[in-house]
Order: sequence, then C-alpha cells, then structure tokens
Amino acid sequence: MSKRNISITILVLLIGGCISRFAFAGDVSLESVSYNLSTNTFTSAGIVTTSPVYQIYAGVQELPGVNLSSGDFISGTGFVKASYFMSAFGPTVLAIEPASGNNIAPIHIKKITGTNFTSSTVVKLQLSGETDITATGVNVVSATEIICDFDITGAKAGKWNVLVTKEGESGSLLTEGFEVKAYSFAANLAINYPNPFDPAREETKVFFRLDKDADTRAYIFTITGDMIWKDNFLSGSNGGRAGENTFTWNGMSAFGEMMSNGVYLLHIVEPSTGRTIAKGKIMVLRRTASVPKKDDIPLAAQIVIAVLLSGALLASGSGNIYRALKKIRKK
Amino acid sequence: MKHRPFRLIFVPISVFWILCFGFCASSPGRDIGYTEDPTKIGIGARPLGMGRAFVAIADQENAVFINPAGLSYTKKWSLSSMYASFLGDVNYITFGFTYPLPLFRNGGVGIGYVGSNVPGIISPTQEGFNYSDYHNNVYLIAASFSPRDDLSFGSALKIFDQGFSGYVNSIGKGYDLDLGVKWDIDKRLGLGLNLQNILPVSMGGKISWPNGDEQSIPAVAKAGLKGLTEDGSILFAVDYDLQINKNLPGTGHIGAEWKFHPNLALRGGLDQNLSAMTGNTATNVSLGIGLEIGSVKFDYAYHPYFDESSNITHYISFTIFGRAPALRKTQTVAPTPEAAPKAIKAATPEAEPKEMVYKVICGPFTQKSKADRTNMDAIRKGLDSVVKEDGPGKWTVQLGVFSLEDNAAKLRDLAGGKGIKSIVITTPK
Repeated sequence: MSKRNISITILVLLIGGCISRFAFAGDVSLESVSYNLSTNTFTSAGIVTTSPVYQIYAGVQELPGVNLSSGDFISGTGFVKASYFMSAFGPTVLAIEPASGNNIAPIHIKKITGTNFTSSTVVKLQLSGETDITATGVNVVSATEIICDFDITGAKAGKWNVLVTKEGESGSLLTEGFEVKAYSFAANLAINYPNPFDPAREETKVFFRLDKDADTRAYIFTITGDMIWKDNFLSGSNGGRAGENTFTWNGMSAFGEMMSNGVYLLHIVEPSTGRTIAKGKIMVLRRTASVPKKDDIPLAAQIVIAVLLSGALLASGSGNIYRALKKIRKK
Repeated sequence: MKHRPFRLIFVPISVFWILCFGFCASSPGRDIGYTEDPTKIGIGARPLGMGRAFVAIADQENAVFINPAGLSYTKKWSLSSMYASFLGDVNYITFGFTYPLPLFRNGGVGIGYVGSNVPGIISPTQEGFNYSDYHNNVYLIAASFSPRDDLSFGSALKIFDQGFSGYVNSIGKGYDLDLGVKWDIDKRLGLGLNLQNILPVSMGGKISWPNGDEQSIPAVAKAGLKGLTEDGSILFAVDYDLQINKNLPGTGHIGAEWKFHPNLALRGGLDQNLSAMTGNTATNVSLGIGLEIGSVKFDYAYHPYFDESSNITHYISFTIFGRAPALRKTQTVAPTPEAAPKAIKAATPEAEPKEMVYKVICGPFTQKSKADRTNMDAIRKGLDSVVKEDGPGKWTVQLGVFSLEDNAAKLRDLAGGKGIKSIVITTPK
C-alpha cells in the first residue's frame, strides 16, 4: 500500500474560522489533516490507499455565528464533492531503469514507470544530507513513462530515493530506488564532465576525491603558464572534505575572458605545503561559430605597426631608391 | 637634401599601411576568443634561465622565435633543440635552424618548430574513461636584414596547427606574423622590439576550426633593453610584454647572465605570468647554467611556477654551431709577432664594428709535433682549432674564427697567451 503526502488548496473566503472535514471514496483513509487559515490550505500528512486514483470529498463546516460565503466548490455547511482534487494528487513512481550508475558522468534514464505523469512532473534523486539531484531533459512519453537524465557526476555513492512530484506539490517516493556507484580511479586525478565543454553554452563540473578533510585550492592554468582561475575550499566543506568533492567552472577567466578552444590544466593544491593533491585536464571546444563584431587590433597599434613596416621597407631600400631617383634626374 | 626622397616615399607608404589596417579594422570580424600561442612559454633554456628577458638579446639560435631581427647577429649556422615537461603536463619541444645570410649588409634566415602536446585527456562516460590528445604547434619561417650596422629588422611567418585527436577530433589551423627590430644604442646597450601575431583577424591572423568558429591569436608587443658590463662578463636584460588586443595586464621580465669562464655561464631572472591569485601578475624566479664547448652548447634552466611543487619545470637546450660562412675580404693587421697582442687588444668591442671576424693563427712551427701540441691545447680550451701545413717544414695552427659579438672574452684571453703570431681581420660576404 503506497503512501503519499498531498497538499490541497480549497478556494474559501473566510471571514472568521471554520472546521474542515474530509471524506474519501474507495479504499482510502486519511492519517491526519491540518488547515492553514492564512493560506486557506488543507494539508494531509498522509493518505493511505491501494489505488493511485481515488476520489476525495472535502468541505467546511460553518462555525456558529460565522457567515461563510458561497464559492465555486463550497456552499452551505455540507460536504461538497470536489472531483477536481483528483488531478491535484501527484504522480506515483513504481520503477526506474537503469537502477544504478557510476558517479563520473551523467546517466541517461531510459524509463521511469509510474502513474499520473504530466508535463509538469519533476523527478529528483534524494539522499539524506546531500543536495537533491534534479533530472534534466525530462521527456514524458506517456502518463506512465518518463525518460530523463541525472547528472550524478561527483555524487555521493549510495542508494538514493527517487522522488516524482507534480511541480510545487508533494509526490511519490521510490525508496532507495537508484544506486550511485563510486567509479574507481587514481586518487590524484580530477575529472570533469562534460569534457570537452562549450563555455558559451554550459559549465563543466569538476570531481575529485580527498583522503581527509583539508583546506584546498583549485587552480586552472593555460598551457602557456598563466593562472586564469582559482577557488578556495575550506576543510570539511565541499571541495575540502574527505570523499567526493565537486565544483563547477563556467569557462570564464578571472580576467573576464571566455576561454577559447584548447586544454586548460586543473591543479588541486594544498596551500599550506604547495603539494598538488590532484590534477585534471579540461578541454574547451566551441560547438558553434561565434557572434560577429569588430576587428581586434586597436587603431594605435595598427599605426605603430604601419610606421614600423614602412620604416623597415624604406630603410632597406632607401639607398637604391635614392640612386634610382638620382639617375632619373641626371637623365 | 640627400634624405628628401626617403621622406617623400616614407609618408605615402605609411599612409598606405595605415589605410590598409584601418580598412581591415572597420570590416566586420567576429566576437572571437583568443587562442594560446605556445611560443609564449619561452624558447631556449638560456632565455628561460634569464626570466624570458631576451627580446633585445636574441642573437643566435633563439632569434627565430623571440625576435627575428636577431637573425642578423648570427655568425654561424646553428641547429638547436629544447625539451621540457611544462608544469608536469605539457610535453614541450622546440627545434630551430638559423643560417647567416648577407641580405642588405647583415642578415639571416631561420626556421623553427614549437610543439606542445597534452596527452591522456579524460572524457568520462558511464561506460568509463575515453582519452584524447591535444596539440598546439607552430611552424616558423623567419628572415632578417640590417640596413645599418646598428639596426636590424626581421619578420617571422607563423603557421599554427592545433586541435584534438582520439576520442575528440577537431583540428584548427591558421597563420600570423611577427615583426622584430633590434637597435644597438652603442656597443654595450641595445633595444629590441617584437610585435607578435600582428595580423588582424580580417587579414588572416586567426585560427579557423571545422565548425566555422574562428579564434584570434593574441597580439603582443614585447619591448626589451639589454646591457653589457665593460668587461663583457655580465649581460643583463629587461623586457615588458604588452597585450595589444586583450584587456589583460602586461608582464615584466628581468634577467642576467654572468660568464665567469669562457665556456661557462650562470643565469638568473624574474619572470612574470598572469595570476588569478592576485588578479594581476605573479613573479617567478628562474635560474640557469650554460656550457659551451667548441661548437656545441648545452643550456639548462630551472623554473618554478606559482609556488607549486609539481609546477617546477626543467628546460634543457642543446645547440650545435657550424662554421662561419666563407669570407670575402681579408686584411692582415698584425703581420708580425710583436704586433699581434697589441692588435688584439685594440680589437675591443668599442673599437671595431660588430660584424668583424677575427682569424687567430699561431706559428709558424718548424716541428709538426709542437703544432699538434698547441692544437690539442686549443681544442681542450674549447677552440675550433686546426693545424695547417704552410710549406715544407712549416706548420701553423689556426685557433679559430671569432666574432667580437660573442667571443670578446676569448679574444682577450688569447691576447695574453703565447705563440700568437698574426691576426687576420676579415669581414663576411
């Protein structure tokens, strides 16, 4: 029997107070319900049912001495069948395929099966103490099938819950439905995804592991030795904690330039000792041609170059030119 | 009156160039990024040991890359190579060949190759790691000429080839131009200027990629000053690199070389790179040593970067010099044994033009064994010495052919030696 949290909003114009009452059709029972007077919202802590589709009847009872105005769904003091609530119930999730992935790159989910999927369905991976991983590229194939991607690069290894909700509302949970696996690689390696990446379109996520908590710095160098980007991470926080660490780089230098095609060298360094903890190589490759604008050599520089070229030309040939002119004059 | 034609022609040609560049500047280009020119790392362990302060010095095997005007100062052909594992990640290798060529008085030509390669770049996927290699290579063709004894101009055409191979495949190609000038203020002070990658995008100064993307090659103005102490033993230099088309801070370079022995030199320098740490530049120390034996030269440079242990880079250069080209004029200025030392002393850098070449001869010897012994002593000292039979029972030893520019110290040593019978001063063709 699945259990779901729901939040139901009833359009009620309240002058004073009221008492809410719910009734359900079918194999449905209600664990508890609360009503927020300021937002006019009924919230159920849990509805227990064997069926993902059911009917709910809800209503308010007028308190003695309080006038309740009529609305679209509430009138008088009796129960009102509010069939529109059925669509307010979130989707359910039953299975996910594949059910595991390595934490070195995003994973494409071929199929999430469940019910009540709509275009506003949101899919997430959840693990206690970790930031939720929200699915991207969600494609609702049908009301019972979704295709999506999870960026699990650098995610903590373990069994994550799969949460499927309707946007802004509660939803259904597949407990420990997806396993994030720790891909084994050299300890002194930092990897990034996507690699290559196009800074005009995306960021790249860098992933590295530490043996123990430590203050760290991340440096990015050009292949000609300029340090174009850096970040500091405190011991114990993301970037400086034992285990998996991640950060993102948007391809912009500290000098405000978007980096061009090439390779950039990433070093994770322990600042107190200058020791290099991990290294990576980030590829930048633009996928489309850039936007037109004016040329790049300033006018002052062009004038200097022009004068120099003329000087060189004439210095080399002035003797010959002079002699040639002299001959012409003589003639 | 004599210079009127020069001025008359100088003005219209300058205007032509300005209009040419001006036209290019007003034509639509692209909002492009700036690629990396691998020659920026530095070429030659000697310049790198001196903190890359070398624009005003560039005179021999490194001139092709650092300042093509310096090709006018080459007296012998040279073949050079350098290798380094830059920052521990970039395989960096260079080759250069220079040959003196008398174009407009002095001149020279050279070709060069700068290769930087980053192997084993990881592209992770769910299935595992995929690998690519990156290369950024430059091929250079350079030439120089000297309209005056103290002034030389040079230019280098640079052909760029960069891209990825392996899991990722994409190659970009392009070309650009360097323009260099060297001016000797006097025998001990000199200036150098190298305008690198000066072609605007609309004139072709760009890297073109298969998907239509175009990226500019950053233009840099490198200006330098060099100085030599009176005894010629210490050379110092200061350079400043100005980014022409990028809004980035300029970088400075300071270096010195102490030639404490005719064959040995110690070097040190301060070298600046851009640093995100300070938002401006960071200064790194560099050290180096040079050993020259005969026609072979070995240089080493130690260069840390940004106080990170794994960034320490060791540069190793190896150069072979050939013989000087054939000589046209010969003038014996010290035909008698007594006059020889005096003539050599007179042949100081202050007294003679830099292109003079000095042929130093010992002898004649009446016994070949004595000539051989002298010859061996000279070879041990690193001289390019040969024994010649001048006639029956008469041998001489030609200790070598020297130019003042690079062998002032050797000449002074020889001036105090024994057995020097004559000095022949010649000028190259």
